[in-house]
Amino acid sequence: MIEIDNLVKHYGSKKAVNGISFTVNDDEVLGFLGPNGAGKTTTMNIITGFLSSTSGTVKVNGHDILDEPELAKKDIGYLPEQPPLYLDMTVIEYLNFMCDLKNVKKSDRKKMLSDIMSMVKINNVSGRLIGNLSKGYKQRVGIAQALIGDPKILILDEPTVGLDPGQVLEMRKLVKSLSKNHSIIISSHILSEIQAVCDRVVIINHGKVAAIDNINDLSKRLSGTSKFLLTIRGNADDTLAKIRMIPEISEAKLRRSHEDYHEIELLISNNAKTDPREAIFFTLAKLGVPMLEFRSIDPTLEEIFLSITG
Amino acid sequence: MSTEVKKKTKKIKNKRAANLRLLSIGSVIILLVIVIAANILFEKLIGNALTFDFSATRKNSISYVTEEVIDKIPEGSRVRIVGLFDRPTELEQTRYEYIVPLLDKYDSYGKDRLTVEYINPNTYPSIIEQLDPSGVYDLSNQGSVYVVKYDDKLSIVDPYDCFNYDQEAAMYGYDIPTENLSEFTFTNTINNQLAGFKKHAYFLTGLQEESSLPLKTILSSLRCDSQDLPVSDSFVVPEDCDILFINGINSDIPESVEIALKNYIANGGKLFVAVNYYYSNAQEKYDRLNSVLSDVNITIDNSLILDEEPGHKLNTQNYESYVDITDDFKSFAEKDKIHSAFARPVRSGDTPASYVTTLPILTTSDKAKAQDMTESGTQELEGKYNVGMYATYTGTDIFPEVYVFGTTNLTSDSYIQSYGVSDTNMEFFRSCIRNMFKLTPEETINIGSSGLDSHAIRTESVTSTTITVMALVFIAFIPLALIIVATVVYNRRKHL
Amino acid sequence: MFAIYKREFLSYFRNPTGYVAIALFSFISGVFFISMLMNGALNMSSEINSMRSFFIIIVPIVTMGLFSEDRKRGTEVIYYANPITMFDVVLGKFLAAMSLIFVMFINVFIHMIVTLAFGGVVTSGDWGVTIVFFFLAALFVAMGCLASAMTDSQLISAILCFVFLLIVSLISTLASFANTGISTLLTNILGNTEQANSIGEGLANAINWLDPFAKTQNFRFGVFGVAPLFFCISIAVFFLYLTFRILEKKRWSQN
Repeated sequence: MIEIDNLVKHYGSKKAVNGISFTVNDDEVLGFLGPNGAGKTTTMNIITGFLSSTSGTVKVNGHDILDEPELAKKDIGYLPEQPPLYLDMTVIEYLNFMCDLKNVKKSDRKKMLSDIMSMVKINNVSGRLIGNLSKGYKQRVGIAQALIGDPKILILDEPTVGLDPGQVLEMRKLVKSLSKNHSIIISSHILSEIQAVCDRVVIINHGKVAAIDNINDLSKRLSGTSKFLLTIRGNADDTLAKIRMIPEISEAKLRRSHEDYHEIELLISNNAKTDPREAIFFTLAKLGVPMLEFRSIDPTLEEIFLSITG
Repeated sequence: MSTEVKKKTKKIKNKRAANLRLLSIGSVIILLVIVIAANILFEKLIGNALTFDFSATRKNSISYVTEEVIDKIPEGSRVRIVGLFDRPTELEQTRYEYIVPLLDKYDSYGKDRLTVEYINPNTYPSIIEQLDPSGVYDLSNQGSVYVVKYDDKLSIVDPYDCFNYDQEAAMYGYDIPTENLSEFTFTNTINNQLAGFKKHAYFLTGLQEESSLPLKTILSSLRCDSQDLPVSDSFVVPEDCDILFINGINSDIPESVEIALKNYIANGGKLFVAVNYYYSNAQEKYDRLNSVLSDVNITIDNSLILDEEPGHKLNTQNYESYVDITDDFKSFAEKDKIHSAFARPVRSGDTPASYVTTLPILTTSDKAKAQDMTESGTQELEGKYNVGMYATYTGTDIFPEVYVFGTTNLTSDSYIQSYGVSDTNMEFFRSCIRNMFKLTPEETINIGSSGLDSHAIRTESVTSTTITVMALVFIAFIPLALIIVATVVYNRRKHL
Repeated sequence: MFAIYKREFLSYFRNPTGYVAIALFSFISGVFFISMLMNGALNMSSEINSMRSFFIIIVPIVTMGLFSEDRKRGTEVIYYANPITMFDVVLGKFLAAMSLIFVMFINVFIHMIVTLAFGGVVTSGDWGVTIVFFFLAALFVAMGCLASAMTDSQLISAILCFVFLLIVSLISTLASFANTGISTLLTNILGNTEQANSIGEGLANAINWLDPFAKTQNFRFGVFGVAPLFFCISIAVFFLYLTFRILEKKRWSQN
């Protein structure tokens, strides 16, 4: 369990974190959502004891990170955004070093390492040099080092950045399986990432908590708005004018014009009773404008904040 | 109002960082102060107590003799040892290696009573005036020397003189030190300044004699200062002469000296004669000297002693051998034999006077030969010969003493410089002088010399092949092997 | 601490750095040894003291990567976010570097054995110089640690360490410069040459007091003092503490 109370961190005159408070319960996966530069990494660095806060407290299982850093850190496994890997060591050398560092008993070490390595699927690369591994494997080694010493709390900073879709899926599976007996904080700037694995989500922006919500409630709140991207060929202005006449469409604007096609962004009004997609199809058909693509798009984080705060 | 609040909150918020900064900078400063203070205290309080001399020759330690001499310095007065140059910083491979650390020991043992300073007269011109107000010592032109000053007494010690040098190399212009006399020199100088000289020795000069420099140093350690006494037509032995040395002369004394010496002995003078038989004096019979010595019933023969008896012969050298110390003089040295070389026989005279007593001091074996080299060839006579004799008067009021040696191995520069001031011969010589002046060992000081560090290796075991092999191993093989290992490790790991 | 020591020491041998540093030491000490051998006298002290002047190259090689690499590669997080204190980290890395220097010094021990085999001597002075070698190494490695913690570039750290060591080696020269400079200046102001000279000399003595080489030179002649060793080790501790503080600064610094 982690209790974070009114955390502030200044860098010069800039406030990277400005009064963040939240709690992570046992065996809970908490999503830590925010755009780049919102203060996610700084907050996580403070929780893990890497940085000291300007003010505010962090308590890990009741131990203050500043007053009893060693007790607090013992319960934390941390995977920073850039996994802290020694590129000149092999995977097994590196993991053994981490065992030394975390004072893992010699008798437990072998079993723990083989469990962790099979869990993150790096058995086959244990003798290879970390510097020669692919990005995905490096990320897994990073997770493996966070798991050493069996910490109750895992803090994963952007664990899926740079992974290919298959690897992202595996990562999600791994987090799900870990969530049975770990408290996990996962940061991300992608909503769908968080939605897939988290129980709760903390959204921060400009160093402040914008919202703390159960993931289902958040989805509900967000489902009120939907947004589509329409790609057409032909006269954009005429098409726009016609589309705006559809009553369910609250807003339509030209996002980008290319040589022979245009991207149009459509916002459907909150109180629309019927699905406007049929109407859009017939409008375009009537105009004789070919539809190249028509799909719904996720709202950006800024839009989520707008929708949450607004 | 809002700005006020803002300011206040900012202050509170930055308190933690400010405290950490204060702790950080403060602890660094405090630690620095503690480190410096602890070092100064350590050095001043227990630095000397926790300094140990582990050198094999103990060249950096002062002996108890020196400690006793320093203890003798009266409370309230001070002996200053002043080096007239900047304290040398690079000691390695210089004479100062043996002198500077040693003098530091004097300084720390001497506390207020003895100080060692290094004052360069170029920086402090007034030091010359301070040490030598009358200017008689001409200190500004002495170069890099030490000055030992006590009251108004002043002595100059040249670092060069703190060593004995190899004679053979000196002939080729090299100074190769063979013996370290630093403590010997400084302590004797201090002792003589404290106690003053007791006796005056004169050395007869002008007779193609060998020089007697180290001998004079030894005499000064016996609190006897030395002066040269040149022969002349109007030769007289000075009033204050306590002992007259005729050392290593290569030509006979002139008539004026003969008369003066006969007179000197008749008045109870003390005479020390040492001559040998060498290329430079083989033809010299020393008739006038023998005439003087005949007054004490001693004669020096003009022949050369060859002692090949196995117990006395000295390794390969033909005319060098051991001579036995007779029972009367056993107490003069710990061993019962001393070195002799190119010796003339010394014997009792043919016309003994009733009041003269002679005693042999040094004798050869029974199998020794005296080679009499005349133009017609060499005659040899086998027997036991004396190499040194002692003579004095008995039953009279006057009490002359004469030591006569047919060898210069007790007195010559070359012997002392080859064997050092602590050798048995020198021990014997000191005993002669002490005995003559009735000095107790307490009245004089005796400091041994110490050796020099030698890093020489057995040259016969180092052939050019060995050097080549060693060079290959140490310069080529080991570094190359390491580089190869580095390459292998790098390449293997790179492809892991 | 032991975990960090072990990793850091082994890492010298995981890439060429350690081997090259040892090879360099072997080669240079070998050249000294052979040239002495050819002269027929093997003086270990003079070999060790000559090697000491190569500290200025060897120590930066050994220490440059200790902290700067961690900062550059982001591996420093390991030390901040795990249950160990930064002092363990500093000490572990310091001891690893010292161990590498000890491994280099095995060359000299081999030379000593050869010396004895050739009938030469290994005097108490030689052991004294050996002890001094390690204490000076400790002092310089501690300075190297500080240099390495101050930057995230190995090159800059090596240059910084080089400069630190250069300053220490030049203390006596700096002292004599200060002496002449102050003396001349004050002579012009005070008009009293001797007074000016004595102030200059006092200043020079104060600067020279910091010279670890001068403090330890008597070991060469068999005079072993605890005070000079205490000096080296306490200054080394000071530099290690400074290193520790610089690393800790990262936590609370607001820049």
